Amino acid sequence: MGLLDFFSSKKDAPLLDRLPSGSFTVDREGNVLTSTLPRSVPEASVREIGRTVMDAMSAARDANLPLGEFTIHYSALRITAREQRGGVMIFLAPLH
Amino acid sequence: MGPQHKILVLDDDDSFLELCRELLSTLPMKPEVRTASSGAHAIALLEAEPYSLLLTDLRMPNMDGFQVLAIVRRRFPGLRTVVMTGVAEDAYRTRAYAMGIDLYLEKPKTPQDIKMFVDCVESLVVREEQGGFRGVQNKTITDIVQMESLSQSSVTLKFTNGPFVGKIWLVNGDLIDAEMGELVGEDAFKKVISWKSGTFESLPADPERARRIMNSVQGLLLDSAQMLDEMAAGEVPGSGGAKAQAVSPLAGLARNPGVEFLLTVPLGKAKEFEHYGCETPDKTAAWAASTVERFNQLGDKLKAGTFQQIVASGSQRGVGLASKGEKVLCVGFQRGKTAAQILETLKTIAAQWVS
Repeated sequence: MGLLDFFSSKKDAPLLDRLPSGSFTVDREGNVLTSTLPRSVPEASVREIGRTVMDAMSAARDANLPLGEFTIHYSALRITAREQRGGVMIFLAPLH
Repeated sequence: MGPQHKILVLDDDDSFLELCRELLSTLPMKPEVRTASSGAHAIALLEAEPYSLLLTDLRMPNMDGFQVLAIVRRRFPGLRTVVMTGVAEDAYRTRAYAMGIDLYLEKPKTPQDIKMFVDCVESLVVREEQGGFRGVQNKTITDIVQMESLSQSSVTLKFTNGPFVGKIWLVNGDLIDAEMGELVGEDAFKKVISWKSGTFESLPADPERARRIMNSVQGLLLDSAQMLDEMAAGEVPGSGGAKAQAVSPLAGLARNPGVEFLLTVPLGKAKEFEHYGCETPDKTAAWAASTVERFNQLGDKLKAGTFQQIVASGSQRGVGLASKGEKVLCVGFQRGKTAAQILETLKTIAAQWVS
């Protein structure tokens, strides 16, 4: 049984966070204006996503690459961001 | 079978570029036709690999056809150029010819125009393959010198190859001197004889010229022919005698449909990029590396799994980013490609890049 206990041990298994699903909008300053994300999603994470996307769009413009729509593919999440007048709309879609 | 000819077509009208691509692809020589919708992109493509022919429009936003031709004349003096425009005014035609273009064509409108356009392009590309000097097409410098020598002429032959000018002096068919930049005598003669294209003029003889070449014309031509054969392996046809440009390994990946440019850059070392056809590679490399780095960090924080790709699109073009280990691949796509098309092609290119 000791061997089976070894294989079934969950002591070191990582915590499986539920990936956020929904959408939100941020203004040019990165403030979250509207959101359909569950309250369980930390506000800091939402702001971080918005800031990263807006920085990428702004840096692209500086590099002569005006890009108004981004889709970021991770193995477990897809982030889609669309630039709109006055800000960005961001969709989060978990893949599993 | 010789190398495949490459033709670059520059126009800000996407539908005309597509028409040219279709028409020129039907040529018996099956050239590879690349297109650019801006002057800056065309220059970036010309820098990436050698082309046989450039077809350019004149009226374009930002950088017009004359500006492109001025840069091309200076940086790619051996490249054949054709202006193909809707502007029929003589002033434009004269100015374009003064800039050293090979042909000025009006944009084809009727089936006859189209046939003439395709025939002209084919003739120019074939001529480029054979070499020759404007004014005496299909004759190499060797042919010209031999003709003048056999006819026992006294003449000064002036050859211009882009920014370089070479002169060869003959008196009664005897080769007495040559000059090219700081080179004189046999060294200058051998340099000039290696040029494959340019312009040619016959100037009056100069019997007072001091003799610096003691070898016979035939002896020197034989020496030069041997030297040219030895150089041939490292030369690009039509490059005007310049050393062969090394074709970037990224050029092969750029053959995928809709690709405008390719760039690879190591994470954290934005200045160590390699690129093919990118207009502003330094800025693009810095953006690609920092963007992938930041989204990698974001993915770690969100526990979103492994970063795979970014697909982005805008009014001018689409861009795809992928990474492998510590290296980032950035691919530019022609405008109008959907996100799904970009993602599919990006995955294909990334797989080829990794392998």
